[in-house]
Amino acid sequence: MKIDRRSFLALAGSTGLTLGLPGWLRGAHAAEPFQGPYWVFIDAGGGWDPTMLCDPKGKATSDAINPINNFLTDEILSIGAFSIAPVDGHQAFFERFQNELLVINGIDAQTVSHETGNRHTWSGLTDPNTPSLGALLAATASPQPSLSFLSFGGYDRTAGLVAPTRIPDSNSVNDLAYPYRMNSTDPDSVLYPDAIMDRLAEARTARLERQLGQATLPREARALEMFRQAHSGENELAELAIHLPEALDNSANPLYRQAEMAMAAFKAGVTVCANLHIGGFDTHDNHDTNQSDALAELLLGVSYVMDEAERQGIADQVIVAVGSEFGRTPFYNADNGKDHWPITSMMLMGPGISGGRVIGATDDEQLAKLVNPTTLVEDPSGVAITPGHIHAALRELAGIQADPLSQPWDVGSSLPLLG
Amino acid sequence: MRTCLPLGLLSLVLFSCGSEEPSPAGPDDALTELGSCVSDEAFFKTEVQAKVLTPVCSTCHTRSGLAFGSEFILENSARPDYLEVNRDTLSDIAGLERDGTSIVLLKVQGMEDHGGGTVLAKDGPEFAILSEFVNRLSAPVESCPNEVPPDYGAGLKLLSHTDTLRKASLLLVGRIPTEVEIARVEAGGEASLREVLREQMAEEAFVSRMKEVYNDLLLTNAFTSAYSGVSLLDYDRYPNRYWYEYDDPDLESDRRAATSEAISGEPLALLAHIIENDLPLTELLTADYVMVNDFSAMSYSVDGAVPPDPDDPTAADFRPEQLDGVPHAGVLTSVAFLNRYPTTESNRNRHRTWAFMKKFMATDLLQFADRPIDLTQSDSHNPTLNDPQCNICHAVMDPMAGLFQNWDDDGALNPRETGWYPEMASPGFEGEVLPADRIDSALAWMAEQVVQDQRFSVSTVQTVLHGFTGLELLTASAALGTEDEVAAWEAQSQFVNATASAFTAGGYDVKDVVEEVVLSRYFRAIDDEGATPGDLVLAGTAKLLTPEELDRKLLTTTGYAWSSWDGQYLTNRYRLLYGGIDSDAITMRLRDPNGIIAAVEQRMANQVACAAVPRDFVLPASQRRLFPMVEPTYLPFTVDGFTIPEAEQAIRHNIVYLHQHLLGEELGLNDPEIEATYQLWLDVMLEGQAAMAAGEQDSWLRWECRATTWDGLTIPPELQITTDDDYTIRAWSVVLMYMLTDYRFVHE
Repeated sequence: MKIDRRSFLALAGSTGLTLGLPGWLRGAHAAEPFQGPYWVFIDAGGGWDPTMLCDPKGKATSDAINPINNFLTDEILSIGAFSIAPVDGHQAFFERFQNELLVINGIDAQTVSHETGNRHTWSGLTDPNTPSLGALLAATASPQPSLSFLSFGGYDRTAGLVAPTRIPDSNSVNDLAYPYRMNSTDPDSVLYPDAIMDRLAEARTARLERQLGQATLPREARALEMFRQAHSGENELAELAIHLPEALDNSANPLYRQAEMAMAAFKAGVTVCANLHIGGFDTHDNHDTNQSDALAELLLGVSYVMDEAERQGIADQVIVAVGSEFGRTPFYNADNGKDHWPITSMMLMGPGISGGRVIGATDDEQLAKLVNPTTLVEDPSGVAITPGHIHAALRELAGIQADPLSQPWDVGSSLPLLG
Repeated sequence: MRTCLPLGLLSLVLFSCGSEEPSPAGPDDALTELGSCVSDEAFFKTEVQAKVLTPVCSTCHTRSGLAFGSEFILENSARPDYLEVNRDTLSDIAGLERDGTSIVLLKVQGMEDHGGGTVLAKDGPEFAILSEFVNRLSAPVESCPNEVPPDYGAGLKLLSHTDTLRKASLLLVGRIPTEVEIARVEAGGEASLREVLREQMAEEAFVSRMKEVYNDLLLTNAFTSAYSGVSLLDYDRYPNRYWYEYDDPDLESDRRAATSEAISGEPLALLAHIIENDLPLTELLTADYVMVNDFSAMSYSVDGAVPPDPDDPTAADFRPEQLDGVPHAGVLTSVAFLNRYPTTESNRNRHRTWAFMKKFMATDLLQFADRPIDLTQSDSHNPTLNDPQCNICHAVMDPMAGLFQNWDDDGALNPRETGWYPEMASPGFEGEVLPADRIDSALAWMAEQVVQDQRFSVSTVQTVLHGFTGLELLTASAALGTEDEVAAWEAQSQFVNATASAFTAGGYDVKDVVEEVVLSRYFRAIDDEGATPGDLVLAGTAKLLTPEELDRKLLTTTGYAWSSWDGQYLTNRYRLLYGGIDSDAITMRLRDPNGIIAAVEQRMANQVACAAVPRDFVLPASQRRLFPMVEPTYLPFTVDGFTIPEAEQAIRHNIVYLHQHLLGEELGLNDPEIEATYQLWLDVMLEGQAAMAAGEQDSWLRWECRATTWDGLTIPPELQITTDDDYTIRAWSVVLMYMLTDYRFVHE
């Protein structure tokens, strides 16, 4: 008995067993470098505080009781379309990207659970095992390189659609870029002539085809297909190694290093999407110091992403989304910290995204204001913006909203968020 | 009254209609002909439980849910008979009526003082399912001729007993089975296989393997690599924790590392102690002792402890020890566990509770949190206690969080002077309040309750099943929307629950679970011969080996340890690249290969083949792992072109051997795979000879490949292999590369 394909695809959502592999369905193994657009999802891990960033809320007077923040409302800055909190580093960031940046405030993540919030923010759904948008983009890309989905953390579930890749350091990339050299820096250290290596590759390919033809159990057939996909890009690491900096950044900000590797992978045409991650936002105590430090590092990291994109000459092809699993309470706890709060924000920029705008808003108690689904202006009878709306819009931007691989995970209708 | 549901409403065709749906052939006959008769049992299982009770009612109506005080309490799949119990429970409630309507149908519409308000729309499919259930109470359908109970596993071809032995040996103890073991299993079938498996489970390598499986669960090795274990100890309670700083300075570094490793290793040492001594696995939670060795005994100031010599191999041996004043509760009171799952003043042990329930009770509380929160409906005064949106999780979580109350944010035994937070639910478990005389040993009390819960056994089976098959197990709350999905979950649940029950009945011997997993279709299925959809989805041998497993397989099959100055490549330099974990920031193993993993495999194959092939030929044929049937001088024909049939046959026989030895394939001499491998060998040999003749290659092996040393020892000059005049060594090396990068070598 054969399991029906629809059922199996749907089941894949909970098991990681997906027959709907890009290579399987489309034969789209990478023959040419991937040309973009390139997607970067930057996760502020732990739950950031938008009221200290792009949805600023201050206290009216210095002696206000139970303030939402300890800075004064009068201190809030205005740059272009944006109001920004008076936190070190924010002004420079918003001045630099005031024409490119789209800020969406008042997003209702509908949860205060880290796990669920992560899933909702980066997949558009709260259902368990939903693939991240990054995984969907990588899986639907054509051609599909074997390193299509780089992940440095954050929500990177793939539901079996694509294999995520970790690259902890560049030395290993150099090692593995030339796996048949005994000494990776010595081109003459290969053991066999090209003709023999070609014969070996031919034998391997033929063997794998025979194995695929004989596999009757879906789990094994899928594993074989993933194996084939993984081995399909033998020159991709060498391409990546060419574009990596000689020495990766070694500073305390993890985003710098991640950005360098991600942009090099994009430039090499071996990667479609990269998940970048920085922690430190779960500020249950000493909120003001810890949160502002984390936000400053985050914004420096986002800037560095664009610096690297420019250095690699791909800035006009890079789409960036910055978000977090939820926001933080509009009040302090006994430890001068802030706990979890479902209302959050997101920042987007890149080709296809109309910048210099703010959509959505929150009230004084950090509750989301409803917006008109057509005009996006505040409308008490409108809708609350959810991650699902944003993902629907991003899927449309990527042109994957109708893709069969997207279908099992319907995020609902979109709003005209991206302009 | 009998009613009909619209065709297509249900994923199964669920007509069990009566006289109101006339049919020329009579309703029952017609339905039977259509194969659409659905028994009450099947209807309850696939419709009521899967689509109404599990996703809707069970969020509150459980023993630990928000509606725990109601008369309608549902069981979950951790209890083997949960379907029967829930069906009886629902039938009892559904049989009550007001004005001719079942109470159940009124309550789900928010009537009859339903605490959860309206949960089902009257025109929705779930309400229709519930209505059909009520109707069936007065018109039961006991059985249907077209319903045949699924025979899970029946249509799957399994690995033979000897092939199962091979796979199990590699995964349980990291070695190829011995000839004696194989012979026993060949002669004795499953019974002998079970015997051999039990013997292997007495080996030290099995204990190490189980520690890997359980570290994937507990992640307490996070503190080992950082040498940070010792710093977890509370200085006030253990002022001698840094004992090594006051002794021989030359030994300080080694002693510090050993002490840290001992303290961070306490949870897994307890597991090892249980396995080695055939103790019930419940001791993992209930042990009234901690595992210490000579190093950590110094930090704990155990009576009689003396500074150990780091070079003394017995100093690192663990033993149980009761520490003064510590209310031990197995791993729960270890500093490694408590620090791996930390808490804060505002978190109040909820994170620890979530981790505990997920790891030991087969329950992910965060699944409840998937329901959207509406802030406008929230009671901001004490939402975790009073707001139903929050209380769904917190009603379960907070009483158990209170049981961790004696252990502070840093994992130190530090009972709160003011007692547990009065604004939180009282500490307890499943509705039972912590007895006052057990406050000091609250975690031990919780452990005593939990190990009696079937969910502990279920979680054990899930851990072992995942550990040895790599399967991502289905959960009841996942999107089980089709027949196949429900069937797959049912098949899995049937196996897990049956194995869990046997585990409980057998006295919690975890080796029983390992044995059943190894014998199961999830470990052994290799072909579809008419399997049920449920079996077809999850069964199969498709586990990408972990870096640790691949490293052991490489060593046992080739005899060569692929290593560098910093240790084994696969378990050190390439561990994370190959999908492994560091138990700290990277905690999820990659289950699918990517381009990096493929490159590691290629590099591994290239370097191992280069080194292992000439060295294998150095050994007498009887001691070789790779080439017992050939010599480097064996060529299939002479320089004049005359065939040498004996040599060709020997080469082919060795290829048959390699396919079995490395890939686990039992192939005949004339199998196309053997021919393909032979042709590869032949082509490489001829191509190489041609390249040598053209001066593009020479007979010298590259220096890394020359067999001049072995494990650091110099090979006697007369046995050394440094040249390859016929290019046969390199042809065999390429064949080995072919096999080491094969799907079947890197998967089991």
